[in-house]
Amino acid sequence: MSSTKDIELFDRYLHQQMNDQEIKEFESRLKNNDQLKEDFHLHRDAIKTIKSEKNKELKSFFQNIDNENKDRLVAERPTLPREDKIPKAKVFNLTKLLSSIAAALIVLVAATFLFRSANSTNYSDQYFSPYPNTIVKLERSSDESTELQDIMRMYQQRNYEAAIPKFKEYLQANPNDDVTLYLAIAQLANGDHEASINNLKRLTNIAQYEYKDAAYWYLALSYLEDGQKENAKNILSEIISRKQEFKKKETEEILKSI
Amino acid sequence: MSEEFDDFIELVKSNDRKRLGEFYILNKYKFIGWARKRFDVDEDTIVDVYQDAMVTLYQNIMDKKVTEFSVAPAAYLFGIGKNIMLKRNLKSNRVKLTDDISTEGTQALDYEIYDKIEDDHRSKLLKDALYKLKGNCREILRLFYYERNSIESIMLKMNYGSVQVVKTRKNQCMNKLKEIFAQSNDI
Repeated sequence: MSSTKDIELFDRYLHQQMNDQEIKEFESRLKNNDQLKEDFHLHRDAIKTIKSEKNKELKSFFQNIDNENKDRLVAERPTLPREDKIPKAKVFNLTKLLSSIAAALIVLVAATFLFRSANSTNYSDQYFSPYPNTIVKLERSSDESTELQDIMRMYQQRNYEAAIPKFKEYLQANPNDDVTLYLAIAQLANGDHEASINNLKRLTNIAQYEYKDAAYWYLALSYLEDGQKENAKNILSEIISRKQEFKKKETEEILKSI
Repeated sequence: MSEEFDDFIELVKSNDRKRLGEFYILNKYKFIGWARKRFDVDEDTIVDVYQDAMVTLYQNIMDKKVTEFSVAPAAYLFGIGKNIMLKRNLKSNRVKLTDDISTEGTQALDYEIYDKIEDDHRSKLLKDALYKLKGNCREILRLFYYERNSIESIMLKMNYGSVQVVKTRKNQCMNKLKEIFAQSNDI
């Protein structure tokens, strides 16, 4: 493994914190030392992987925003033919229509954001959004899907009623705590609070659980939806004391309002 | 909802997902409208490019390759989207004739936002190794290498006692990642 000194050298080089002389010396060392070169390439690729995984998560976040709005749009938005394939006379109207729909969408989304902080006590309506899919890649063009991909598609389409039994079936054959989180979120969205609470409580108790932040947040929402305000308060306070960033603002908002 | 987003760089650095979502929605249909007129591609492809443009802009801000905008953030984003379209060799209809989107300042950015070869064995093993890290290792590595937080800032965020402890922990985590990779690579 790399020495501390080498790691810091690699970082300074990759973060462009070296002066010209240091760069020259470092590159010369790389050229003449195969072991160092190998270590450096692994270091660089590891950083690429870290960035790549975060970027995939960010892309899922954007896809999730689209999915959240898809159902509304399908009803409202006509199929738009390509501009150069439609009669000229219709171009203006369609463009206008597209603009109107886009404007309506923007207003709709803006309203959603703005009204989130309104004084309603329906916490799920205000604060629930499904956790983005970070466990399977959903290829648009792929002909073949795995069982989990099919289930996650249902989840993304918010077809929770169909997704829940499929999740359960899948988990029976392939126990997996990451997938259980998505089952619990689907159960919360579908109104089965007891089941979501049981699942999420178990997940928050796993020592090194990767999605612990999300598990805490959805557990708090489940308690709120189930009318268990004291338990919800305890979990929300736990979120604050854990210093978790995920849903921090929302947690503070809810704590102030209950 | 602010349409200006003058503070877009700060917004990205603070990882304000709510406002990032607003920015995404606000510009999405403008981008689709612009791209449909200029590229002979379906809407799914345009949306895919738009999302990748958002991720590219985000990562380059994190990497400090974008530190200020000479134009509005949305115009800069469209320039990145245009570059991605061209990099993917998507067929352009009229881009050269009616080119109103400048790519100035966006050419030198890093466009390799995902692993180059998704199915590459090395990438897969590294990814698996990353997810096998225990404790707060992944968080430290994310904060240092992706969000480019300073060691001091990580110390404050993660409640460590000293800068030296964070440095040591960060290096241990990186070595652990390489060790898990090496073990799986030997199998």
